[in-house]
Amino acid sequence: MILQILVNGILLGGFYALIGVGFSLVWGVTNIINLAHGAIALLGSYITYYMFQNLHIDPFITLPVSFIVLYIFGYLVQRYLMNMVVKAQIFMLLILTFGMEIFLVNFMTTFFSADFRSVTPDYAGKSIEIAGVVVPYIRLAVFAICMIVTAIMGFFLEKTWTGKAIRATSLDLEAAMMTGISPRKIYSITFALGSALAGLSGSLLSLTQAFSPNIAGGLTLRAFIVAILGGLGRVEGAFLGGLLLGVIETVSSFYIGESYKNAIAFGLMVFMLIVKPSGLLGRKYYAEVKH
Amino acid sequence: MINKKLILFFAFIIILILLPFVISGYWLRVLTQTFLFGAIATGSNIIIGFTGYPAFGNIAFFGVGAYVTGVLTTKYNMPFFATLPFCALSGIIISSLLGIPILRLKGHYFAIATVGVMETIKELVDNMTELTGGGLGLTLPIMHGEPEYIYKFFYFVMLGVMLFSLLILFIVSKIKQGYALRAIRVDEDAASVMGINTPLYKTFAWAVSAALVGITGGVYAYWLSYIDPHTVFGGTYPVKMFAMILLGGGTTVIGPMLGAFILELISEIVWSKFIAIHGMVLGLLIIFIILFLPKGIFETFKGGFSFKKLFSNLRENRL
Amino acid sequence: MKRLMLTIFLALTIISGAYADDKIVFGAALSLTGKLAKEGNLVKDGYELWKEVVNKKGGINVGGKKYLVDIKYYDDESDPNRGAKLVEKLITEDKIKLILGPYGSESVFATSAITEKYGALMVQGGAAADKLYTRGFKNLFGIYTVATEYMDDILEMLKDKNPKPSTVAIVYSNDLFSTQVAQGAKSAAQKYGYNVVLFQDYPKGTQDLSTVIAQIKGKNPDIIIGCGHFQDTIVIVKQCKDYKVNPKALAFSVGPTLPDFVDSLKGDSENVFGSAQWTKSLKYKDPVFGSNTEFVKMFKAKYKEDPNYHSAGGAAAAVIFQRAIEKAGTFTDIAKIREALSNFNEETLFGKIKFDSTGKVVGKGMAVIQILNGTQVTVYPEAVAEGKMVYPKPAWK
Repeated sequence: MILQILVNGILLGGFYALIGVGFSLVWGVTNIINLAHGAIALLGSYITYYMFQNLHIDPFITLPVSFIVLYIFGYLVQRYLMNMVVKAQIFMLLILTFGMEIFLVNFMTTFFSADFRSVTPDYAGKSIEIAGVVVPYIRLAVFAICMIVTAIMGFFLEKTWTGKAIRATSLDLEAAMMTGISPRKIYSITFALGSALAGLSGSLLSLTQAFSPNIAGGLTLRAFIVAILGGLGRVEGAFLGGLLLGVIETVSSFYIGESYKNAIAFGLMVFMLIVKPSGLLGRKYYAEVKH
Repeated sequence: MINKKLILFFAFIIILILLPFVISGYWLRVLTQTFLFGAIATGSNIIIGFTGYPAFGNIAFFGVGAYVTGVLTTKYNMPFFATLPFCALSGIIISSLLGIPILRLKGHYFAIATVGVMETIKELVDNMTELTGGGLGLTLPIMHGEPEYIYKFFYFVMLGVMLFSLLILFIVSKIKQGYALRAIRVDEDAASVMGINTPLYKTFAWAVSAALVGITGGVYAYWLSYIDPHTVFGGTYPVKMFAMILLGGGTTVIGPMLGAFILELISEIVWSKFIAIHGMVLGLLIIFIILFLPKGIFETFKGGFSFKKLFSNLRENRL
Repeated sequence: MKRLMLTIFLALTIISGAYADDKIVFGAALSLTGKLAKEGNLVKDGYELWKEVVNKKGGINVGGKKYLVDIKYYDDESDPNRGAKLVEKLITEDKIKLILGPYGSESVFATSAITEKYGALMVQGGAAADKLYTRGFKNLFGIYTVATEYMDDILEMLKDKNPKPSTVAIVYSNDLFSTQVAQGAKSAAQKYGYNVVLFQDYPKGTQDLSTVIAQIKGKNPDIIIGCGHFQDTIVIVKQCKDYKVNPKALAFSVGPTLPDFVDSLKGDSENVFGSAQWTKSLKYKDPVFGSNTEFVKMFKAKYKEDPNYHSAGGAAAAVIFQRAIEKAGTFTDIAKIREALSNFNEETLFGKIKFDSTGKVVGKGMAVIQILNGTQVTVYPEAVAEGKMVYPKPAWK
């Protein structure tokens, strides 16, 4: 059974990685902890849900829509809201994103209702069995998509001009500005990417579980833990952090008890902050550089 | 100028003391709730506003205090008032133990570590079913007496807790340790170079803050007579607390309390008219405060209102 | 500072409007926004339909004179503490002593403490925690079968089926309500001679239960009982299918009775059992609506959708309140109305209602529904069964 539980953990971890990667990117580059990350992810869930429910579009085909819509949303938010006060004390931005979270959650509750929703296509629940270990196709697909997206993100940041500019900005804002990079634009693109990735993870979430506007906070906390475990701003860090969180959750709930799994996840996060705040694959401690 | 402020302040207190004899149970309750927030915001301000450490999860001590009172009154039959020192003590112990490692963190990292602490304690309380009732919650002994008397009782106790927090904050702002905290807020490295033992002072600030918030939690538990982990740890408390501190001004003694009054009374009077969308209004209000009034309503409009001042924050901090 | 004081005085001067004497005004602080917004609004729909029907008939008959009814609502934002505050407002500001209950055990728990203190009355059709009735309160009456009896009927129904089930796995969310349901289910299972092979809790609102499912699979039980909330129920069904867990019966305390259940799970919801406080097909008579069937018809006409148990509970609570007032012959003498409620023994759309000395309904029992061809079908009690149940549950496709 332990093999099954490990596999469960890794598959779950793939999802955690995707929700964490956008969060980590925004945090690492712009130093904004986006507490609205979970709420933005849920916007993606609702896009998939309504397209599936009303237009009968396959949930996997809705992924690009989710990505593009939330990319635009994220860009506008950063460009016309966050950039206005981005130089203020960092916890002001923290509260600002919390204000956004409250607004978005209540917006969704008002217009999409507080009902729990879930997307269940015909092929849901199909699985293959290898050596007694059951692997559900949907979870496998979610995992694969997370890997692909993470790889693309890594490639984007390494090889493209915009990606390099984002990384340069995250390392040293002033120096980046001197080379002609417009931080206003880079910040907006970064936040847009973060939101788009959140939207993707939200769309995939709708396939494996039930969601309502009220789970936003829980999602943000998961993204938090992933980012801390893996290290900020690093795609591969978030990937590792996600897998680690998934495995730790399932294994600890098996050996210690299901109801302790949250306590363990949060305890681990605090522990990580204390011993190695830069995360497993972390680099320079950004907050120290800026303040 | 000082005197005028002082007179106004005492007039305000006297009105608060006289109010329960003219208003009804509902408004007593609203004001008691306002005092509760006033106490939390004031107590938390020692670490948040004075020292500059955004202890987002400071509500953890509120929950701890609530459970200390809850467990002591139900399992050990302790009288209510006798439990309050233990609320303060548990806050001091936890914050001191955690302070040494966690207060090394700065900015976001500290804020998040406190959230992590809050969630961890919440989950632990949720699981210690034997002692805390776990997810079932804990029912405290209900106070006996006429409702009129009970409501006045909690009104005055909560008012007392708030004023006590205010007094402590005032004292901290006057003694030399208080100046050390401000030095840490302005520039921690410089403070350290000047010979201030920063870890000690930061832990001191957090412990005082935790003690005050803990006491508030204890009173809350006895007042509500039913607590469960999901309501006393988290919910909308942290963000409301922060909004109050910011609105009133985090660097002042009286600001957070005034912030609590403004936010709570506004929400009571105005938002009840927008039942369906008040959550959205709360979110927008917080965004508005951060955009336009991050220094607090009093600090921003010192010497009169003007639109120019309203936009000064945007001019300073935009990218 | 001056402005602040002004604000306070302004606040104090806001006094609610007075109501005309020929109206009976009820009060309700419901969750119209926040996490219980859905249920809160459904209960409100029940209250509103009752009000409309009663007023159409000329109102409540008190000592030969007919009084129209009105209900004053406040929104507790799904926060029990705020609910308590608002009930206090209803009683002290609005001078209303007839309180219709909110939805949710926590809210009823907090608000009923206020009605008790002020000697106001509450009839509630929205909370099932046993804990509500162990405080020695005199002024709270509830019509939901309590949590510990929730799964009793379902386990009784299954006990003699063929092939005979012998093992039960119970998993539950660790909140007040679900824990009580699970404890009740455990003792009911032992009472009917089942072997409880797994009794496992999980954190409230959890997103993933794969480990619990793996543990269930290891025990291979005949019956799986889930005591949680809608979202956990969805996760359990999905993951049971994911990991090919095939019990003979899959039953939940909350979930299958909600219309969203089939919407969310589509075909995977087939053959799942649910415990229901009330269903559309129950054949009870009702003093206001005529019968349960009539109630369903009227509800559909007004809201263009089928009622579920939340709305029925709200309407029934109001009906019972009304009948007690009519019997007492007064709507101001709380002691007399309480007396009438204590001696209440009448059939309503919700069932045959009788209260014990603590104010909780006794002997009402639960109906059992099963999802068959995408609709909820009442399969128990057999006397009102709409269709034949499917047992054992076929394996996942």
